[in-house]
Amino acid sequence: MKKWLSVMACSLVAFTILAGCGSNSNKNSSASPEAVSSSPATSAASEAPKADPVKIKWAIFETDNFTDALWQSIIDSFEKEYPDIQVEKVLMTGDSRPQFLKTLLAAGSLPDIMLDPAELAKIKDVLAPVPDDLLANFEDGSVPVFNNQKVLVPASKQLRSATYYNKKMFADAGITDVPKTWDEFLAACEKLKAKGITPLITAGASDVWATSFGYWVNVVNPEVEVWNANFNADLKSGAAKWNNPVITDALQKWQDLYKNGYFDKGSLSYSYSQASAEFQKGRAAMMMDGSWVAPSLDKGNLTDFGVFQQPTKDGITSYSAAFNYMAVSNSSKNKDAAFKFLKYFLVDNKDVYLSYIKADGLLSSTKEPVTYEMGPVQTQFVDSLKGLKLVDEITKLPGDNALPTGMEDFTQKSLQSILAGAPISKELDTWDDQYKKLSAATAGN
Amino acid sequence: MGKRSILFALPAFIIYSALLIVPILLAFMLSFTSWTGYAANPIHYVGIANFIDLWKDEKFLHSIWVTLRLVLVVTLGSNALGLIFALLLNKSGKLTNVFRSVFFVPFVFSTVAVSFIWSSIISYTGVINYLLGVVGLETWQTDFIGNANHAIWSISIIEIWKTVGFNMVIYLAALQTVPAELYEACTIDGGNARNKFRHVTLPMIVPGISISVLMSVINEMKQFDLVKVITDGGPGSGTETIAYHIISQAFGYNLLGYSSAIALVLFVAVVLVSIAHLSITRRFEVES
Repeated sequence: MKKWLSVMACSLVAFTILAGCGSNSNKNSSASPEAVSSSPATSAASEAPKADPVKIKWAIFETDNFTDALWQSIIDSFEKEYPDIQVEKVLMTGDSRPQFLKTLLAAGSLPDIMLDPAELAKIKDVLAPVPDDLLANFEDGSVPVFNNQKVLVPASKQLRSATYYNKKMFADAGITDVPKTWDEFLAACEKLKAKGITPLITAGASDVWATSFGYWVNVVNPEVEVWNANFNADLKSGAAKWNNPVITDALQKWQDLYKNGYFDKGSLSYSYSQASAEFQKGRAAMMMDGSWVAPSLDKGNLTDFGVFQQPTKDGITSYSAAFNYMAVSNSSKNKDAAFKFLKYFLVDNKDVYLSYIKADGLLSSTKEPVTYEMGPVQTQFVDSLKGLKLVDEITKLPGDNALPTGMEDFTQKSLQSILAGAPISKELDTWDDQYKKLSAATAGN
Repeated sequence: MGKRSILFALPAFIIYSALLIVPILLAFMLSFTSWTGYAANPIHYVGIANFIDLWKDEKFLHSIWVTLRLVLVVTLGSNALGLIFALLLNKSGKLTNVFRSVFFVPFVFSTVAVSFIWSSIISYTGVINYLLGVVGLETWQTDFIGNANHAIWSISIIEIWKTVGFNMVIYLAALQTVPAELYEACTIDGGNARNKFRHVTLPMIVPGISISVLMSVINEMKQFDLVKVITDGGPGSGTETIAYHIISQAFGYNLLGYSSAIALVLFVAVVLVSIAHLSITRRFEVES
């Protein structure tokens, strides 16, 4: 008996230890449905066998849309074309990719190529200047300048966010048309609530970004843009403050939605994927979410869902789109190989590029547009933007008026406190203090 | 012989110094600078400015409050339960070893794995709320994570569940050092079970209590991983502990100098608490 117990105890301990060791294989060879073939392409593959292939590391992240198989298919295609270069994936984990990259930067082990490096561009000399011949392939005005340098490659364009809704729940509550003004939106919330349907859901818990993402992009950002189109520049010069009547009022409306019981009660305890799943299961009627949701609804053939542009106090005035950037580390020993990879992936092989933008419902950022057939929800999303003004997003604005590094993470934490009931004006005062502190730190003082 | 022993000690000494002593000294020096953590950025000496800023930082002050609550609840809960389990299991019985293993197993599990499992149990749509719904107690369904006050309690309970086995083992070891003659003497003097516990067991296991309580206090003062995975310090900054605040200042906001200052304050606090604790418990220790 005792022997059995010890054997069982030991196995349990061994299992626990091993359970933590499961690694994400970087050599996943499983064929992706999105797998792309290597095209004859423009770049000349070197025929002569090389002794030691150059190894470069590529920091990626995974979502339901951006799968390991997708990234691997891009790498496989590249390696077939350039057998002398090997690309190894580094998976960015955790809820904040900027924080992940900054930790690697502090440890001196920044990967050669990175997805989502915009926060690092704000710090001098961390990213390598991009060769002009590569940048020449992208849309005019898509390349930001930081400290007089062009260090980011605008890999794709992303429509940011809209409000997704459950058509059946709207019909059940007697809502015949999507809301076009803030009052209509509130009336819709009230009608849904009266029918016992939870109007809204968002995420919380450890996915801090997801709590405020939809509301910030859909409501706060457009209202600030209507009020002051140069908010970032004014913030930098000291002419504007975070604690201003427009942001305070916008956040008060958000807090009121929560206080009035329009949000699902468990919102602040869901992870982002949990909240999305609960929304699709019909736990709430609306979710303000990213453009990436549209292709996944289409992929799942979820025809019960529709999408509309969220009205603000000024009506529906604008939408925002942001570029997704990629970059090469300035400390990379193989910058040429790294830029070769980016050129192959984003410019030379249209099939590879298409597989990347299509997976997440992105738009091409290349001078020569790359398009694909969109599903019904994504089409509705794009159609809903017609006639609206494209505006900058305060927290994502690249270039010299960008927020100091770390500021976006700080605002997201504080926004979660605000939704949970923290006094708004007092929280916004901490934004102003932190903005000054982080600006000084980003400038290296 | 002396030279040879130094030679043997050297590798360990070098590794220990390089990975522990040197970083501690560096953190001490950095706490007087505004360094951002990037090698390219210059290191500016700012005197005690970081230490002055600390006391104006409401999020830091809140993290002290959260940490103190965790220290108090977990130390009391985990030690009281650990002692009770040790007393119950300090005898030879058929199932004694099984129960000892059962209580100790959570301590062996990886904290991150435990946190994920508990997250799915206490999530709003998790097992607990589901069961409450099944038995018709919908009104008892609670947001265990999304409300800061509930979240601190949830984290405390998970931490007690996780550490109680470790404290139990310390108490078991302490209980086994109590000489049987003392209990016999107590019986002869007419003492009952309560008298035995109060006048024999308790005074004799003071060293065990001392070490167990101290370990709990120190562990909770540097609590990070459980909070990071379950709530990520949220909602907002509601469950940020001091250690969480240090890490987020250093790697989230690149305020390495400032975070070093907080780390130094925490270090001093741990040292002071340890000294105070040891000097208090030493007074209660008795020789058999």
